[in-house]
Amino acid sequence: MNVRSWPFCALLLLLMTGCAGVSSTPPAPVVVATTASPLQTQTALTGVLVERGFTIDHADHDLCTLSAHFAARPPFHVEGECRPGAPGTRLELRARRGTTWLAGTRLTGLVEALAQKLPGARAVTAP
Amino acid sequence: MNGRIRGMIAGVGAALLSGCALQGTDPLASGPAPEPQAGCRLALERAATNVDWMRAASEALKAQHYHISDSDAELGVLNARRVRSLPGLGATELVSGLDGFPGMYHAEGRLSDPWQVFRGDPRRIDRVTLFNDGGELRLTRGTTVMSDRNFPIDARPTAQSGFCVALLDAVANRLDFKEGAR
Repeated sequence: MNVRSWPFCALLLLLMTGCAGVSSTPPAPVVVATTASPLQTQTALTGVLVERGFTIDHADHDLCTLSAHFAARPPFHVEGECRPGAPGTRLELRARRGTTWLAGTRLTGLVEALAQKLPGARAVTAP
Repeated sequence: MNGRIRGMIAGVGAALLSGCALQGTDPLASGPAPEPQAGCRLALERAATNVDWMRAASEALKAQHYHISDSDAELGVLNARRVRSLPGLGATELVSGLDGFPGMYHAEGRLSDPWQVFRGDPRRIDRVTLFNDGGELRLTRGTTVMSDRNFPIDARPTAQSGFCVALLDAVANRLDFKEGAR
């Protein structure tokens, strides 16, 4: 290898590293509080995700869990889990792209769309 | 190195970088949801329960070689998945060179696959979701093409009008047939 070419190789290596997916630990979920029932909350979340082109991988109304997938490179994944609150429901949302968890601020659009379907829904943990 | 070559290298570098950063549509963006493709909704008859339309949709999807991967009648959501092999990209038949390394050319002299990128056939994975959104059936589909080494070659939403109309018509016909049978 020509000595003069090593900066180019280093730059190429750096760029390729940027392309690779980086695993990260899941961040704290975005918590949405609503006065709606868990089923209404899960229905609204499903509607919001389907409107945006997600396909649902798994949904269980008894456990109140839902995971959705958006076909892209890398793919988007959204996970929702709700628990009965007092009163209403607390919905926890997480999202990742490929293997990289997304910051809560990236879920602002989803929370806003949920608030239109569930009057009174608001983010308790600020996204 | 003259300026022209530098410009070409910079252009190729920029193209590669932009490839890494391809975003396409951001489904998490703020603002109103995009309008669905025409024909990707079906107004359900009042008499049709979730179990009714889910049975009809299951039959229609199975006729297209999908299998039902998940469903929840209470929530009104049905998910199906289909995996198909895509012969062609993986149909390269490698011819080893004299030194034992993969040959660059086929016997016919056509360019082959020296780095064995396409050793097997890629798979096309279609995911479909049908959801009862307050009496209106909504349909989404996403498609991912994976190489034989599970590298995503392509991935995009694929709920086009042609697919939606054909599937939802099949669902409606089955619902009408059941309604008539009653």
